[in-house]
Amino acid sequence: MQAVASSPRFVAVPRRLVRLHRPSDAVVWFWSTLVVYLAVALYVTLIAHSEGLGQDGVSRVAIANRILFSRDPHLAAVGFVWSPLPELVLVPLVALKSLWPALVQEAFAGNIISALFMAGAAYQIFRFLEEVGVRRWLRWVLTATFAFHPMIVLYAINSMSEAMFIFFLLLVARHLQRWLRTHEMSALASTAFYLAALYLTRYEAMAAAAAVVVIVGFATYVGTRRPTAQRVRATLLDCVIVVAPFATAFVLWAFTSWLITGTAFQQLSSAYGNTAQLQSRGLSTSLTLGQELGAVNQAMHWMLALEPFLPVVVSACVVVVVWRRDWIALAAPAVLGAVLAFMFWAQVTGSVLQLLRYFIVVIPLVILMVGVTLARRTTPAPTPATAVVAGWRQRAMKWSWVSGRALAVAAGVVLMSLSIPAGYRAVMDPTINVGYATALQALENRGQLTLAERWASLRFVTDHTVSQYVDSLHLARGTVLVDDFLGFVIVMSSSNTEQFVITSDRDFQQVLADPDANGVRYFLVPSEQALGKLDAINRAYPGAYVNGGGIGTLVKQFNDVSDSGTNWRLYRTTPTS
Amino acid sequence: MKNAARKPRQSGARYATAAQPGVETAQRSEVEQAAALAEAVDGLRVRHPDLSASRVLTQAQGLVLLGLALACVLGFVVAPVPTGVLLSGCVAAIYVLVFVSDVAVFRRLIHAPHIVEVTDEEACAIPDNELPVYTVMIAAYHEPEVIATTLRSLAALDYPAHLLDIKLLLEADDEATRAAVRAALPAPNVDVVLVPPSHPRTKPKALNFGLLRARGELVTIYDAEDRPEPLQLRRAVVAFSRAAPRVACLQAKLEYHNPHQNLLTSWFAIEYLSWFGFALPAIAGGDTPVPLGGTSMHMRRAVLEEIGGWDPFNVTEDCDLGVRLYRMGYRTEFLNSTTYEEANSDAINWIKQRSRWYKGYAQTWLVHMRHPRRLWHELGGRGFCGFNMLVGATTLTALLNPLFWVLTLTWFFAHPPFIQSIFPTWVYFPGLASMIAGNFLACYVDLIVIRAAGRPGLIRAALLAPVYWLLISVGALRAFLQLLISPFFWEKTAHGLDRSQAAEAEA
Repeated sequence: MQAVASSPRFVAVPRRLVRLHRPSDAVVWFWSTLVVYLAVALYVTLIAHSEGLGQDGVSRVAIANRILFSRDPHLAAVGFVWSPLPELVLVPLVALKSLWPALVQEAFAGNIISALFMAGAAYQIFRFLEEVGVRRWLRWVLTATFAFHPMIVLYAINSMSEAMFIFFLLLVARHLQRWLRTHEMSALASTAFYLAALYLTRYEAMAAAAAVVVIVGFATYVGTRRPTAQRVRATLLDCVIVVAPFATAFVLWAFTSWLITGTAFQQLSSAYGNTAQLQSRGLSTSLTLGQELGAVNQAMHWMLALEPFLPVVVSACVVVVVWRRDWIALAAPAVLGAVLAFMFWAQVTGSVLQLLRYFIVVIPLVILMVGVTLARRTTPAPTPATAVVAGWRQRAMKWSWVSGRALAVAAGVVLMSLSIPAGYRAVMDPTINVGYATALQALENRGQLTLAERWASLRFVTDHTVSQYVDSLHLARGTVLVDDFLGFVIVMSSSNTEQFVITSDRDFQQVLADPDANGVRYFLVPSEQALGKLDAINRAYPGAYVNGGGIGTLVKQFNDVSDSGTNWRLYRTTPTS
Repeated sequence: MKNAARKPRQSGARYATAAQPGVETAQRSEVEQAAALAEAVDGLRVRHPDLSASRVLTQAQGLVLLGLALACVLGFVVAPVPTGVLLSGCVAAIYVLVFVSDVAVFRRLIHAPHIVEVTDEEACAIPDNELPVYTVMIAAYHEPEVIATTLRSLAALDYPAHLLDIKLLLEADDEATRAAVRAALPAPNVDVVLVPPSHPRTKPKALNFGLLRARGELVTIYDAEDRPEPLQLRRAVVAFSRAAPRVACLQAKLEYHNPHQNLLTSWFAIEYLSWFGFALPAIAGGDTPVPLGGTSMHMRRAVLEEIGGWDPFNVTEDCDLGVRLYRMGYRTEFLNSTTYEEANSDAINWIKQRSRWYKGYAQTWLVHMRHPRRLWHELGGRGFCGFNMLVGATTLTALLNPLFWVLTLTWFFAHPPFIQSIFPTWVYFPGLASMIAGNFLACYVDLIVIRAAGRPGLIRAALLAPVYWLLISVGALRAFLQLLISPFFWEKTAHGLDRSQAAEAEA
């Protein structure tokens, strides 16, 4: 139908005029997915008040908030444990806090950003499919199976950095593919700059960078018809061009971190970093063989839960690429594949927590591979093998009334549409989508919740209670000491953020060393289980939670009502001699 | 069908020019000579006094600058910290603007900016009787070593000799070069013009003097050590015939034939590749006036005469000419044809040349900013901003860069409180960000350029570019001092330092 409508024979209106006013399909996809994501996010966050979905996303809003509105607002408050871009893009929205407090106090700014970037990712998927030559209607089907995959919708609305990461990753893959086909300098430079943005979004970008460098180096080396020395130099130059912005971002970020905190790679060495988090949860960073095999099994299980047809799609894609001898078509999936492989490796070696979200890249990967497989491409270069297959095909054609290609397309569409219910099952399964499924179920069964579901939906209720209580004391500026690593929601949802002395304040260590002398009247400590052990006050004053650590007397205890397991205690400081 | 290798015609003898072939033609009457000289020196100054650099500052400009200087001094005495903040804020704002305009240029640059292509076939297809007379001017002063090579390069130009009007402009008192020319036995269509000694002793004055005798409908200039691509003139003719009437100038690409002589020539080569092959076309694509190269710029003679020729008092007459063209409504396009020059291989010589360029840029900026409102009206908003960024800010930032590097390093190592006091957060962060991103971008452009130009061998120099910027700043500093002391002094660049070329010339 679309084809008829846009075919010149049936169109009476001058086409150029129509074009001027009609946005491209990809733009339609961007806006419509954005509206859908925002509507869902609005419902989940502001109407259903489901708090179990945000987690790290909420803490990013808290960080953006402390950059602008803390007692000591400064850019370095962004912190150096995680990549800075997801926090920095929030800053302009958080600046509008006074116009719409829910942006910060309910962390809705985070939902807006993740919705924006995931809608952007849908746009990129569509453009990619367009560029590899997928038919128009099939582009719509495949983009829909991406954009409405439950896992994708979940991460479009829960303010995590996955959306941004997928968005930049797709940009990298798309422009790399474009460079391989056209050799335009702009494509190579775009790949390079998006790779840098990817690094500033998530550290997994390193895997993508490695893949891109290998692909670019290989392509240039093979494609340059010159003496070896010049070939090597050309290869080196292309690799430098594509990796320079990434490397600069890497060095600058490490250097800034070193300059401000004294360590270049906080995510590894910080008291709050990945390693410390794993250890505080009693997880070893080196696994036994049995554990490793278990992790392999689990990772495979999760990937298949998200995309049950992964093996089919990968094999079909490889077969088609080999048949067409169109190696360039593999470049974009290879970049996504590298990230996935890296996360797989990290899981198996126990370097990161075992979370379903680390495998989210499998969804766009499958879509890209289906796109590459079903794309209309030129006829393959004839080889003995293709001749044999062509012979088979001709014989097969006699027996079939539909073409093999139509069958393939139909199979692709069916498989992709099946991936949505499968994805739904995975996302709702508490053994797979650990930490989120319960909150989602709570959302589904509003009114009649199980205990676990109620806990999950009340994730930050304790923090809000603490915050309201402290606010009700009407304290002066800089009188409440709290480590906002765990206390970020307390600070973020307070209407008087300047009363807190928080970790990012430049005088935090000084105040921590002698709270009373530095004007602190109260301090808040979390219970010492799990991540509570990493709390700065608990570390500086052993027993601070239990008995005030010798510097305070208990004012009030706030018991956890969710499944986070963290209780809070408010102490009044005792004057030191 | 490649017939690019057409033999250049050597049949000049049949078409004897008005002048005696190869003979110095200073044989006009003394009165004529004096009138021509007066026109060459004072033509622009008399007709367009506002566009002549014969005065460095107008009275109003002088007063404004003096006022600003006094205000600064007064400010530092009365309220040093707010004055410091204000100054650092202004400078940071300039850096941010420069960075923003650099990004805009970069975006156009990576999308292959517009360069006029004329294929070999098209260039050769024009029958001789449809070609216009072409004047080629070469101003040579103290160049006895290279003049023979020059004449050979000119002989290699693929253009009918009777239509080629070569003006070799020599200073009358430059005996050595005159002798070298006589010894080299120039072709019959080479008209040796002797420029009477007078001040200012600059290349643009000689060019104006030559222009008075030019017969060509089209005019181009080369430097003594240039090696233009043989089909360049034909390409320019074709390009002009296709271009809009307001395109008055075609700038050919300039490259160096000795990029691998040493690190300095590699840097210089990258800079030229980038400037003529990418940056200038990208800038011109943004509807902004562009400075021309000092050589290989092809112009319609009528336009050149209409806009007043070269400014003999401006030491970068090429930059000034580009801006003046644009102000008078004409446009410059870029021609894909390369002239090879010799890159300066000696650091001292290089710095002298660079400081002349910066001095000229400063002169040009001051000349055209005499009436900012009129300039805005003539160039449009974009053109006005582009001019200020390219000609004004380039010079200023080259001058300021070392100061800010020193401040940054001092801050890192000593943390002196006065630096913190004059750099509040809102100045410091934009400043720091534009410094990091701007320096990165400058380096990255070099990488992109050598890649796009197919010269991966220059990668080492491209990665070491920041050292080159240090040299540039030395040149800028020297230029600033010279502008105060001797604004019109033309610092001659020594040629023939490339040993391979010297050897070739001897052979």
